[in-house]
Amino acid sequence: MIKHFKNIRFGFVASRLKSLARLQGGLFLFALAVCISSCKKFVDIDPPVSEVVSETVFTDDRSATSAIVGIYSRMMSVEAFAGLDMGFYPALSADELKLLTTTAEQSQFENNTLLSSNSDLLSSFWEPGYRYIWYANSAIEGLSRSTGVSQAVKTQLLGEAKFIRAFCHFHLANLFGAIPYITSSDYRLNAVASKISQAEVYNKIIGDLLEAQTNLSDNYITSGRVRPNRGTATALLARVYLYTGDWSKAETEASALIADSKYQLEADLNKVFMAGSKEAIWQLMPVNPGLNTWEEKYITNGQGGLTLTNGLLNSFEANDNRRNSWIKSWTNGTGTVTTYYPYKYKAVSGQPLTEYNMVFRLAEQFLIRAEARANTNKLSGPGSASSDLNTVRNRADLGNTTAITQTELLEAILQERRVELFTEWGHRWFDLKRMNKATMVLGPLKSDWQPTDVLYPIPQTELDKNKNLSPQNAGY
Amino acid sequence: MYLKDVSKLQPLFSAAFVKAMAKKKLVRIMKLTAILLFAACLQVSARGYSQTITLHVKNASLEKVITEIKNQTGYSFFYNASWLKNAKPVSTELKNASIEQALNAIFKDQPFSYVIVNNTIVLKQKEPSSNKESSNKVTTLLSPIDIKGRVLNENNEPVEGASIVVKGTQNGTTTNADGFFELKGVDAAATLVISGVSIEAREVKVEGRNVLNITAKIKITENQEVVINAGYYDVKKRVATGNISRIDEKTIERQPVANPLEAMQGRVPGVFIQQFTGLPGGLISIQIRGRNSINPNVGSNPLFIVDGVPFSSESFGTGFGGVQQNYVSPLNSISPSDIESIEVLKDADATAIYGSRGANGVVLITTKKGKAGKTSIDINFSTGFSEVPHFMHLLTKEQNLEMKTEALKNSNLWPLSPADYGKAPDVFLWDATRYTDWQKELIGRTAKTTNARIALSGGSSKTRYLFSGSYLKLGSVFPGDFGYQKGSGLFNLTHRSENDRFSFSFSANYTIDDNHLPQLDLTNEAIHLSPGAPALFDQNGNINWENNTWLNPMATYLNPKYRATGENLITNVGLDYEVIPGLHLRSNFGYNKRDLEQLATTPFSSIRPDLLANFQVGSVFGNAKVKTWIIEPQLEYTRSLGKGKIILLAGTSFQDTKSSSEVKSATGYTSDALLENIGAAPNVRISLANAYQYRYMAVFGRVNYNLHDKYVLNLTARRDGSSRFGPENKFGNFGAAGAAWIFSEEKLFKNLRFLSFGKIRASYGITGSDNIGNYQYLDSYSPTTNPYQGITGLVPTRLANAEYGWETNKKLEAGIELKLFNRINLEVSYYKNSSSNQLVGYGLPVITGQASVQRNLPATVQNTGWEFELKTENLKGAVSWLTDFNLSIPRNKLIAFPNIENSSYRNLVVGEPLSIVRGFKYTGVDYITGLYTFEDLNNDGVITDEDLQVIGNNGVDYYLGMNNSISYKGFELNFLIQAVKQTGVDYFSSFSSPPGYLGYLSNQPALVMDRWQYPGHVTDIQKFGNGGLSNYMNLSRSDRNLTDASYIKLRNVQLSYQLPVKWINKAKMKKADVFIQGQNLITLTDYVGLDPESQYNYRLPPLRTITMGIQISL
Repeated sequence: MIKHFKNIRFGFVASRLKSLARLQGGLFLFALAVCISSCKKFVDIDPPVSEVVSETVFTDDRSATSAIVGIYSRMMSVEAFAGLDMGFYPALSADELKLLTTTAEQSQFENNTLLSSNSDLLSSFWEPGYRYIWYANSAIEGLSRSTGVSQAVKTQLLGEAKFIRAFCHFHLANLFGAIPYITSSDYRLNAVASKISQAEVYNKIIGDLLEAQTNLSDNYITSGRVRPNRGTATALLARVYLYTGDWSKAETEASALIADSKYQLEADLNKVFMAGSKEAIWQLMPVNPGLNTWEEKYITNGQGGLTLTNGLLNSFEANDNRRNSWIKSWTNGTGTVTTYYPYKYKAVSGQPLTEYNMVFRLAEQFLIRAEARANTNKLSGPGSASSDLNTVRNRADLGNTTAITQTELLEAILQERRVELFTEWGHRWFDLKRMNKATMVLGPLKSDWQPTDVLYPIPQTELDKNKNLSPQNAGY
Repeated sequence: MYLKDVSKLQPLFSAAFVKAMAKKKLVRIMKLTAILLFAACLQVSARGYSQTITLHVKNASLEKVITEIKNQTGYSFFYNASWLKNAKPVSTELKNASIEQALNAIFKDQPFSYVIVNNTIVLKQKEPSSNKESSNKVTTLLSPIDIKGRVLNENNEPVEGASIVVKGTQNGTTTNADGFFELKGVDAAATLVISGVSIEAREVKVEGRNVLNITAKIKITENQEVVINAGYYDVKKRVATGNISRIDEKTIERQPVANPLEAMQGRVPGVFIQQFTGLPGGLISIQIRGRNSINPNVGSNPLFIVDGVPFSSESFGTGFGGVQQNYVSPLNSISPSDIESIEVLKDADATAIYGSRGANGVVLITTKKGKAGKTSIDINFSTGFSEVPHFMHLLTKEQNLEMKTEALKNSNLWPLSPADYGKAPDVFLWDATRYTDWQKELIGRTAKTTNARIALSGGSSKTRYLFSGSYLKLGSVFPGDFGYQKGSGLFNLTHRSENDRFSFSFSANYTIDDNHLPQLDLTNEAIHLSPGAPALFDQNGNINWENNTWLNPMATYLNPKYRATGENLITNVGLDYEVIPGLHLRSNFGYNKRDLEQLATTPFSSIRPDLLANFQVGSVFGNAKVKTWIIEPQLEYTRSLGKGKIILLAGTSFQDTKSSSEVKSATGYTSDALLENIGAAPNVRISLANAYQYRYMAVFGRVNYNLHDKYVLNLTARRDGSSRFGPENKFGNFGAAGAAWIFSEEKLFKNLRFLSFGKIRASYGITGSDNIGNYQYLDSYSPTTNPYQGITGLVPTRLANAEYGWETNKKLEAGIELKLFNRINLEVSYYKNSSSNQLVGYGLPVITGQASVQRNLPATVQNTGWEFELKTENLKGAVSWLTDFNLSIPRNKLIAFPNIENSSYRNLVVGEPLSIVRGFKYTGVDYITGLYTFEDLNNDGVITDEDLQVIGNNGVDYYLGMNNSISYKGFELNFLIQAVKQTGVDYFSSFSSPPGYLGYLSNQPALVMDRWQYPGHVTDIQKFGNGGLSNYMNLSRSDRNLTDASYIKLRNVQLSYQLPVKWINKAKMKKADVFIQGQNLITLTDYVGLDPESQYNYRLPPLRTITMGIQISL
């Protein structure tokens, strides 16, 4: 019976099989056909609405311009690097600022006890600096490939990109010493890039700036002085020649700017950092709605959180108008604590946008030329170091300098830079380092000072990811 | 009263029987020799079986016919085996007959009738068999009586088809659909034996009663008989070839938790769940069988599928911060009380059908369905409280002052110049008599919790429905009015056509959650604030800024608000049509829509007056949306092949996900009252606008062959395409083979009495992962937030790499499942997974412009491990005691990585786990200088990164969970103990400056008082002061910072009591339970810090929760 039953069962199965196979097979073939034709397309998606494919960016003048303007927007969107930090942290490392309330990271800058793990080191300098360089390199490559962008715009934008590349490397090299000079956007090359010496970095900066000078037009291409022009490249070039001791070239470049009637020292110290300042060579425009410059942070922090050092305050000569116009004091409720804070930028958030972040200004060019001339023994008389120095002094209601010898003049120029350029873009810290005066000046002031502290350490995470960045700077 | 109705319902099977019995004055009591046989479990899935029957038999035995119907339909039969002796041979010709038609034909001439209960066919005797008599006849002196009665289960639901037999006789009957039965001529001293497919057998003495209300215990489904949802198909655990763990609704209900993942913690071997924070709605990580990716930032999240719809496991949020930062658990939007089961798919056999998304395992969440029967209303309400279970032992005010004074002296800064008083205000400026325990003040409140659910369900055998609404409210331990609320609605409808060939299911689950918290986690402040800090309020009740010398947490931390409101809709439609017997065409249509709105405010009132100009007063508005649809048409064919059964499944899957998010910053407000109104802000800026699309398609198939329920082979394969890959690499192939041998079915083992079940299974296969983010291959530019001179800028979005391809995850698994002495279930699994061609965000030095790029690495990571699961029935009967124990021993190893020394993964070591730590070797506090010292590997006199070495392994050694369930009468006690053996980070990581460091006002753990004090002092804590900063920083990178973070937690306790039936009936209820539940009750650990699980002391630790409540069924 069982056997019989099985036979029946198999008969039933067999009768089904054929029709099933037909049906199933048909459905499968259909499904498969639909799938094969549509599947590949199904997973091909459009670029997101929030992004533009790179080739598209460099097909016309307008969007190509956006790719350069984006860099300035990013620079001013955050405090890091250009927004504020280049003026703030080096001022702590030098002898300009003292913090009264602090974070563990900031105090490492102030006490010159930086650790390579310091997170501000990475996030305020190394990371944004190289990111802007990547933006610039991507733009340079995109522009070079582009056929849709007009020649005039292309030349201008290439000039700006090369200037930005030089500008960022300049600041990084002054903070970290030997660094890689990145000229490509290819991460496969860059991930293993090697350091080159500071001198080689300067050579490459000069190369980029010379090209930028050729490319950029003499006039500012938009209203205000917020996009670099030829003068901007010249200003940085003058500074680089000064830093590298190329006195005659420094003098030439600075002279070109001083001779340019566009640029005039503002007689009123309160107008120097304003948006329409005649002294400005390049300014970055604040971009955050409702916010003025990031420097307003000094002001508010100044009220109890930080103070200018006594050394700096005492170095102002009597009657120096900068002491009155660019510094403000604050006293706490009980009258026990008085602090002094930089007051170059005065507008705070909520007030109309009247001040721009000053990057290059003419007063520095006078001081560059003065230093270059002093070093080439053009000490007094017309066209000398003293005449340039006096131009800056007189504007601050000070009389002519009493320095006569070369040594005295160089000392007077360093002092003048100190009171003219305080808390701007790391000038004091860079000056002490390049003149090899850091240990002499800072050693007695800072208990933990080591001569090797003139360079910041390369962030540890970077060393971990690229062994070609080794060795770490001495002392870390 | 209802007994009248009963008699009307009875004629079908009892008339003849009653007449026959009535003639006899004495009833001969016979020995019932046969044991009731349960052919199959109640819950056999009908899926995969035909709903029609084709039979051609002549003079076949009824037993054979029954077996054949079982095979064709998947229905089970329930009957007394001895009855079949009276069965007549069957001859019939049936073609595509419905089950009723077939059964009517078969049972026409039989001495039985039948009823269908769910998927079980229960046979009933038409006539009593009086021809067989037992030898030991007992004659009683009492006259026989008639009995009417009703059988109910524990939930007070009627039990249909239960068998009632007079003990020692074959006199018996079966209950009807409402549980009623009637027996005539029963000896008044007799005992009734009640049994059934869904209830535990029990005996009841008649004791002369005419009316019997019998309550029977619901039978716990045998471990091997549980039907498991494997995603695209269901499988009975008995014949499963893969490793799938299941958690049922009862387990989930027992826990006062807001997130389904919490309910799984400690209960599933191989699944490691960690609570990062005690904040409501906070992130809970889940890792199945270890970390597969060498990149710690690549999530090891499994694929979550809720009711057939893939559910993004990425933390959902706009990333603008707020108290949860990005730690928002996506599963918040699923209400645990709506969940019927959670299945975890672990090995290749189970996960390969999910192809490229199965590498990290798959978690299937199924929401509740309606049950057939009368409309029932279930109400559940509980309320209770949560609190921080453990505070850190910190310095007292005196110790804190001593530390700071000593630190200043050690740093040669004593006395401090008045200008610097602000750096140590607690020493110089503040009221010396004040003392505040900031932990108590800031995180020490008890948070109220309330949970309520009401569900309406019911239906017929063809149509069932469930509607439920639930509400959860969690308070906050922070001062102020903060909390979390969640409301959800679930609707579920299933329908089956009259001829059972078409079925339809619909479910919709809608959840709203609202998280209202301060913008920052106050735990950080509670731990670090100086105990001498000033009062929060001045005499007039205003915020006290103490002459602007401190940041008052009451204003600074509590006034900035964070609010996140989420909405989540998951709907699913399932259609199934049986084209011809055995061939099902079906499709799932799923849709998921999620919205999240976030708001963070920084009001004027939160800012110290002198700092106002420094802060951007305003609000941030975040908005994120995700929409996913999925269509999965499938064909499944089941038939006999040879001597076994084969199941073929083929399907495709199309998925589309679109997401967008936007963050707006609004500033320039003039009043705090307007902060939530974006229209009142003069400056509004869109700081983030993102959108992405993700598309995914697959073709998949399964072949399953089952021979005699003894040998099972399961093959699965899948071809996947994903939009996340570049044009040349969009498709990949995956697949697995699994096999099981149920050796206890072999003759050799059948005689082993102690062995009730034994199975060996093994599988091997390849899965993948596309968990890499979208558009990583695309070279593009994105707009900048802020225009410059009115022009919107563009900057490169990412480092693009168009060449990366699929990574492969090979999984090998072997397991054995045993049931011993009918009460011990043991399951042991071993797995070996290896992940190669690792697809990671490859860390780059940022000189490239970005910190990483997506690419494949030649690295291979291997995860091996043992998993043990032991379920024992320690006591049966009046007191029942079940224990459920699981143990997981995971091991992780990087087995290959050519050229590792030139990669950004140089910190890893081939041959060692990924959790290996390189650091300094701690060598104690120098007894002369009082500073921490470390081994100077290269002997250059300074400690630099050149001195780093492998110092340990910051990972999990093993973890286990043990749940006990004890019940006695109406009482039931459940408790879960969870233990983890692991290494973690010590408290230093949460205290970023050395004790007494000037300018950084941190309190410290009390144990720092053991600091070095004088030359020659031998101790383990560095001297106080500013010196030795780098030594202190190096300490947190040393083996001194690796500490034992093992713990044993009494994770969950529930005690419930079922109110007696008498009371319940009076109140016209079916069932009522009162219960008390506790979560995270006790933690045993040596860990210094708030909690060994969350470790970091700047996050709120997981809370202890105790609730009590009531559960009622109407």
